Amino acid sequence: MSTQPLAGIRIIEHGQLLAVPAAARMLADLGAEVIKVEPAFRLDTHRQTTYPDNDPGERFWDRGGTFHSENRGKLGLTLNLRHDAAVEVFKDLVRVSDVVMENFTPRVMPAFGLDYESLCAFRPELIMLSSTGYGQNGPWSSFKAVGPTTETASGLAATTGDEGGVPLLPDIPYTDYVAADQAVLAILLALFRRKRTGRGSYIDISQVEAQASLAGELFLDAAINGTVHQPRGNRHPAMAPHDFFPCTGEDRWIAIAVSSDGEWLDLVAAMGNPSWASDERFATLEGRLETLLVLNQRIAEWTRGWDAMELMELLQARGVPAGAVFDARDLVLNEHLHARGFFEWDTPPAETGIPEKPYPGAPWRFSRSTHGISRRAPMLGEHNTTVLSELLGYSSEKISELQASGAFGGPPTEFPRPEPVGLPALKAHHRVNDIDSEYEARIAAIRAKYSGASN
Amino acid sequence: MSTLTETRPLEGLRVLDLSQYVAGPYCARLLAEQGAAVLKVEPPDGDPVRAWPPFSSLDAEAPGLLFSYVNHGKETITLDLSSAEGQAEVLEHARNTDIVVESFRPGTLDRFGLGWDVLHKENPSLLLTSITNFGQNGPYRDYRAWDIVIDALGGLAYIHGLIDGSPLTHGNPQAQYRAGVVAASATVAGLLNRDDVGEHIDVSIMEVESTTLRDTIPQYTYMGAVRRRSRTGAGGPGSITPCADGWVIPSGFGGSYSLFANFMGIPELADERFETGEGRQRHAAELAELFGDTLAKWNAVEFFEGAQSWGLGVGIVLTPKQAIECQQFLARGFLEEIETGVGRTAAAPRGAIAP
Repeated sequence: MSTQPLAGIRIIEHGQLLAVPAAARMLADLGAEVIKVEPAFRLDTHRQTTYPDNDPGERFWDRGGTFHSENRGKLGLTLNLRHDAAVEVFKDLVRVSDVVMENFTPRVMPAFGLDYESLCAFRPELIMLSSTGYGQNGPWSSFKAVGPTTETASGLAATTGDEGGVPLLPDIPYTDYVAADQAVLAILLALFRRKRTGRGSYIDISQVEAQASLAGELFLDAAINGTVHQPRGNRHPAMAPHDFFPCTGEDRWIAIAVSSDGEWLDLVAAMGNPSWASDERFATLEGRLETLLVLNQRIAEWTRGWDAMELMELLQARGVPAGAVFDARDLVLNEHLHARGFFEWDTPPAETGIPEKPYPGAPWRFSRSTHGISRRAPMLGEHNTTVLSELLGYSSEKISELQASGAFGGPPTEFPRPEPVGLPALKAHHRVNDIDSEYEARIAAIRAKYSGASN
Repeated sequence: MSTLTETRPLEGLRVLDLSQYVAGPYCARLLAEQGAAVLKVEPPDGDPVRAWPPFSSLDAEAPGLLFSYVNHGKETITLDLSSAEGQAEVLEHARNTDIVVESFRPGTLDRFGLGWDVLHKENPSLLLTSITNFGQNGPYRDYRAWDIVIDALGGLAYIHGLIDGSPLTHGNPQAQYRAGVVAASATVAGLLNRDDVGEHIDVSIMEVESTTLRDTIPQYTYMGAVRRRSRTGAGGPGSITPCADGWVIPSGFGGSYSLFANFMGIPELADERFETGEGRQRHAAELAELFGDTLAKWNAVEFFEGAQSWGLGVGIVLTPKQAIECQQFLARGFLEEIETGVGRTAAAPRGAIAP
């Protein structure tokens, strides 16, 4: 029998932006019923970006591509928690739910009377998770945070960047995902513990700590050796060469990482045994680390004439760890990911005008458990009536009263329709390399090729 | 308040950790932290990561600090899995354990006679968590990789670094660390679903990265746009900027720039050109100049705490050395002493899931 690990588990996600919404979508993929509670008076940032063909359309708040990607598998409920009636609805939901997840600053949930202790009073076995930048206590607990600022405060960024330069961060809020990973683990552990003991729990995730816990050796190095970390470029202390090297085409690169003297000889053979490579300084890791600048230049002269994909195949065939640097198009069209059924296909509702598209799937496969996108992302307030009548048993009169009182929040038509963020502008500022007019045809072709593959 | 640490979730469970390097060991370490008894099996030469820097300057005999950190809380034995005796002993342990964590290249356990079919037959309720660079199937299955290669293929490197420079990888093995956390989650999901029948869990480190690129993928699937690295490396103007004694991120992240103008005493910032993200992008050079001159006089912590007290969501760069002395980390008891050599301990981050 194959089943979903979280079948029968109901989660209330009162999240914003990324850390908790991303965690909740992973839990939805594992079978949990997730009810996303959003305020309608302030649209989630991800509802206002990445529109199909850059057209916000009439219902722009339901057309954000990143929203659909990070919120699939959820039911959508709008609640204006500034209304007492809406707070009561939230509490009624808690009465029939297993988990509450939220990522607002620590003052928000207590201000609504929706902190863990208040909820526990009537739902003692509740599992609640709060995810913040700096944690629920301490002198910085009320500070505002986003992915970039938590990565810089975590200790990790100090060692990341070009040598001699400033720390450099990925162009996504990386640490939000690090916190999301920890939130998923914490909820699963809490559910397992509740299964064994019957007891609920409260989990306080600090995004800075989540990231710092993935840099333990740097902290030990600082504590024991007094090391003050600096950006180290693409160097590795135990591998050389270890860098990205240019290939043919604009902004195309290959990563090569040589972890042993044997792999170095394999690389030399792949290069066709050039005479420079027989220099005995290059024969040992120590020598290669000492001569890294020269070594990297020599290798770059060779890679420059190669197509990144072809070079990757050549080096991998010889056992040298190497990988072409993939952009979004390379990933979406990648044969390996499609062969593994990594991308999952989903169709937002007709009202959004968004056709069926592939979305990144899960990083895991199970031989017995099932997982995957169970339902598409919700339109704003799409399930207000369903949740309240079917789940909470509210009468239609009561729902109408709530509607009239403003408990669900104002209609999104009150928001100004956004202008498309001009692709030419993006391109001019070098954030976008290329606008591929053939993207739909390319995606359709790879889909047809792998229509039999599934996870 | 009830927390996970009162009764640790995995008390009474046993884990056999056959893995090496970072991802598998960190997965097993997280399970140990939550109460499982973990037995790590190392080859006769030891886990290769023992020889990776950084090392403790206080103890020449001790393994590298990365090894100490990702293997904290485990018992360790040495076995040669390529020998019949080693294989028999592993099988005996596997019969009496709940979870096996392994990170060999796909097919290796089968060659040792310890593949999923064998383990499942010997111990039907066993969970086998396999963590590999590219997963147990697909054309890249046998490809070799380290973190920088994962960052290349996973999609992170292309959007990390400066537009005029090369792609960039993180300053430590982030992809493997993250895969360790994700694999621990998959393992606990397997436990929740186990009843009496176990299963084989396949975690791909590349996919851990590719599934968490936010708008990078939808930008292509929704508009055909191919995102690349930015000018500043942190997603726009107001990113990491030097101050008198370090670096800060002088961005309001929602805060008004007129508030910034008042806090910093730079009236020129209260300008409608800087009020929107697009405007700040367009006028990045002027903005950087305005900030740079004034910021050069500020102390990082004073700027960070001061601006935050004005409601500005600015950031600060902390080195690990500054972090271990930081009041916020100390107030939350985030550091714990772990063993880094015989009879010697040092402060390291505890797991993120604790009171």
